Amino acid sequence: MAVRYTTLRGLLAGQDPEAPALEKLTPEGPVRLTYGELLAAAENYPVPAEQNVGIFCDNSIESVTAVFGLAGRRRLVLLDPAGNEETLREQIERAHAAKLIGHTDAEDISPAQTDGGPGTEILFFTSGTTESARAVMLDESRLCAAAYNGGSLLPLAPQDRLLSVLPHSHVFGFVCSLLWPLSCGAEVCLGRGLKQIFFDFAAYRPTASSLVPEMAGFLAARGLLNEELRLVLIGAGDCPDSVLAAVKARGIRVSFGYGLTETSSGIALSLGEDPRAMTVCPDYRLEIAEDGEIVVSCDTTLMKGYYEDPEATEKVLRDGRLYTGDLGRIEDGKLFLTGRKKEVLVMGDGTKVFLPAYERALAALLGEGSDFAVVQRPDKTLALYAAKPREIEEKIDAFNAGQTRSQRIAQIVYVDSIPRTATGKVRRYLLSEGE
Amino acid sequence: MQREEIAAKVRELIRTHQPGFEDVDIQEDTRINTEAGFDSLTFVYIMCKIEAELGISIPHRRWEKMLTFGDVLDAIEKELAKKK
Repeated sequence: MAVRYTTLRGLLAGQDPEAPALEKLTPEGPVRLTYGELLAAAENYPVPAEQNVGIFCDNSIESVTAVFGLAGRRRLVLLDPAGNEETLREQIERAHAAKLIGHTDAEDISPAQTDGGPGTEILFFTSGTTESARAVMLDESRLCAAAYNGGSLLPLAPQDRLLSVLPHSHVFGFVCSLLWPLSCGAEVCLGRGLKQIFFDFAAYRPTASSLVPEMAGFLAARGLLNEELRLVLIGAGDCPDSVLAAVKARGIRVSFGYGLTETSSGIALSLGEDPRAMTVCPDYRLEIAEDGEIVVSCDTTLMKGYYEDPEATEKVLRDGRLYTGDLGRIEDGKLFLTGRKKEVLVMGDGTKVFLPAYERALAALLGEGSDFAVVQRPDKTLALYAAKPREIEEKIDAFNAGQTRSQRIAQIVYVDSIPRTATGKVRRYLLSEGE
Repeated sequence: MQREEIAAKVRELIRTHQPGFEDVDIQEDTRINTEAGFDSLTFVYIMCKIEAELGISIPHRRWEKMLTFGDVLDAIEKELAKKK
């Protein structure tokens, strides 16, 4: 039975101190920490003088200990050490991370010149390089509540071993591949990084894992999931039927999760045979607005707001309700997602592309008079539709060089003209249908 | 190892480990994303196989900057040169 905690160190203290909490395979051999050892390391973690602290979350025992040690004592911003260098610099400045902990091989990374005032929030950036990226203010209590909500619907046993390969700098990775298993007393196997992801399942022999759709499909299709694996939680984007089928064909239970950074992760989870019929987590109340938008109320998990951005907060969080920008319907008490109201594309690896900003960057590169539109294909990659007869391959190459791999243009399709509405908006569905 | 030998080895690894790419024509200027059609994980998987086969380790940040197979060969040549 799931237990409600309000602090990260309290969550550790609630488990059997002798039970294994973390395992990390290193070239020198496995390193293991029990719950008692992890709690002691967190309790004794040195607290820096700076108020805002950036932690490079490389899924190491050290980075996990730093987060558990400093939560509630400083304002934390969780950073992806493998992230784009420019994005990292921007995030550090915007979050006033005057102290940095951990390692990144990104060049020219240094702490922010200006520190923030006192605070205990934990900041997660919602997405990468687009102007829509915002620092979402959560805290220990909200994150623990999210773990409780997940554990209530989908409990793990203390004997379970969950392989954590998602970056802890993203809320789905932090809650669903770290806090959820720890709140259930299970063991977390810390993945060894991108280059080892194909071999981690064979090396750790986990019983559960949380994955993004692209990873799940790739690993299942190549037979890289181990025999002991009995549960895969898939989140951070819609999941193609082919991926679900590939994982289920291996006898693995698949649960599909829906949530936002702004809700500290999961709002609803699928528990039965139909992975798209999702049960709403116990703390949530959902309404479907007239235009189909999912509007969420929750006393325990909704963000405090966007860091230093009250205007953006006001747009989505009003009267205790969060306007998700996602479209859905409720049938027989189950939530079904039907689309996205916001022009944000979720890529196969869980990262997001804010389409208007993405197209503006392309327009600046392609020059005046360029007529094009970007469409996400069913396999999650991006296609660029351009009106003939412009030859733009070289410019797209240059553009792709500045994008992370999952966010690059994967296909260029030349068409006679870009279909638009009377007001000039691109009719993207006509482009997809024409393929 | 000469560049042509490296290119032949890379082609062989791609054709061995990536179903559907047996007949793809892979040249120095073939673009990884737009022409070869590799998604992000496929690319990482193939690069891991190349590293293991050739006994090298290419910094991950360099992977992100690669656009064509020629870029991949450049990186491999550089790492093999370090081993000498």
